[in-house]
Amino acid sequence: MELAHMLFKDETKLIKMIQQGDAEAWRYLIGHYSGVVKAATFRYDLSSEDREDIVQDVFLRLIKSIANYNRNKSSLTTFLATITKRVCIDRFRKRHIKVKEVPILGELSASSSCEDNGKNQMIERLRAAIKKLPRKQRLVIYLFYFNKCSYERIAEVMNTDFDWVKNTLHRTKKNLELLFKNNF
Amino acid sequence: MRTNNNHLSENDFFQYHNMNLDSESMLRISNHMESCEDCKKKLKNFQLFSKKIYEAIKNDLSIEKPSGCLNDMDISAYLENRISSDDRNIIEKHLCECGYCLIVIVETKKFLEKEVKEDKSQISHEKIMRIVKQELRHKALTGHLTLLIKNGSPVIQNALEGIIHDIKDTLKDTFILPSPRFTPVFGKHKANILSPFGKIRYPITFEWLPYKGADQYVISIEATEWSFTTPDTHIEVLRKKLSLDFGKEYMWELKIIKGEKVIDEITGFFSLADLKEIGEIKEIENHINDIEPEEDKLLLFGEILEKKELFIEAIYKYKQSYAIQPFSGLTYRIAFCYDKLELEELRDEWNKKIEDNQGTGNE
Repeated sequence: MELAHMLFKDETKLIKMIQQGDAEAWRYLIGHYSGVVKAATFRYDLSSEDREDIVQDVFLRLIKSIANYNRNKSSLTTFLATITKRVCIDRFRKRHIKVKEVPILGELSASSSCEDNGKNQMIERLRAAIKKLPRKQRLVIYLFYFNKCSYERIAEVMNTDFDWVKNTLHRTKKNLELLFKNNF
Repeated sequence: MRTNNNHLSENDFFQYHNMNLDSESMLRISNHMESCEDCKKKLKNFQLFSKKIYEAIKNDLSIEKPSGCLNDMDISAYLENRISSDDRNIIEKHLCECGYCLIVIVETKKFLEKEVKEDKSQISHEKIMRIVKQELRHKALTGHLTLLIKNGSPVIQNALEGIIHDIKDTLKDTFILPSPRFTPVFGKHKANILSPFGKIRYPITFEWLPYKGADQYVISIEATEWSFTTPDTHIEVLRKKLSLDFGKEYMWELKIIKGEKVIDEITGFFSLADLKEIGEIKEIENHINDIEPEEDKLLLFGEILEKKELFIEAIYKYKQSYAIQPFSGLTYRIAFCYDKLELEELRDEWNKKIEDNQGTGNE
């Protein structure tokens, strides 16, 4: 183990050997990162068997995607966290696993729709108006209303200013309200 | 947080709606609304409006993962802000159409925002490692196969062209977990003759199980004058000793002799591969000779032979590979080949081994 640590503590070297399919490098990776992968599953209501299955699936998926991994663009932790979340979300979509905290994944099983034609028309007009927004503004709207994100999280995800996010949301809502003043 | 006349601000409604306040602030707002009809009404309108926006946008954000979705590297780089502004634009354009990727990004961001904690509870690293090793092996073998097609001579390319996808599917089945298996046939009747069956090439291997009480065995082939007497249960015959026609079918007979009496007779059928096929297989064999490790070379060659319907020879290669590195997928391949030859007893024998290998570390 100590020898492995000496060999693989240089992450660049570790990644290179993993990409070459070196079994000992994989063993080191599993030993050091399976804890992070498992922690990323805790948001979801899963049995311990399901959790272990997900951890296995993540490493199997990593075998396929490690060739694309670029250390200059992302840490291994973020890369593994992304894969883990994707695997969890895919499972959720197949089996409707519950989320323990905020039901953020409720949108995955959300069904439509409106009760009458009048409402449908209004929704369609609203939809058309939102689609016309510049892309960055639209993304702010999606992250807030679809993903239920806070201003801070939106600003961090989009790498933009907190105040810009806040003002965009307030301004967009006002503009949309004016557009549909008579319908609300 | 509050405006100067103590009513809630627009900002309060936004934050309250998505529950993005600390519990103290949430409680203060809830308490205020209990006594303020005006703010209560405003919040209700806000929530109504938010619901309409959600209804309006959700149909534009597909949660079915379409082709062309962001890959894991794109998402990770975006989250760490290690992308160019052009790439950012491309990614954000995709995010405006893809609910699936939006959810992956937000869920990952939430996890990373917390101080990344590890879970140190019991997790079977050895089990993960076994599965990863299998997958690495599968990946390496698929790579060898791709190179074989790419760098192989026209003869090899022609030989494999029509069956390459089948070989890849077979490779996938070989390494899938849990391994597939057959429904066992009941009964304990044991096969007597083991080879040759089906399509074969030289040298021809005659093999059978020892017969109790036998002194010697006589093998002969119908419609030829060739026969061979031996006390052993295995012989290999070269073309110079037994010249048969390529591409033709033959029936062979095994007589079990005790003293001067024939105590049993068993027959089998085989056919010789035609010359073209033999040439192709020889060339493939030469080409893959340098593949390492040995067990992978044997396994890959076995799969090619299987797809060419030389099942008996495929079984031999698989068995040699199995002797070095046994695992359940390989026992399935052997059982599969015996099934193709309609040798149910031998199929069942190897089918049983699938279960013996699965979950014991020999996967």
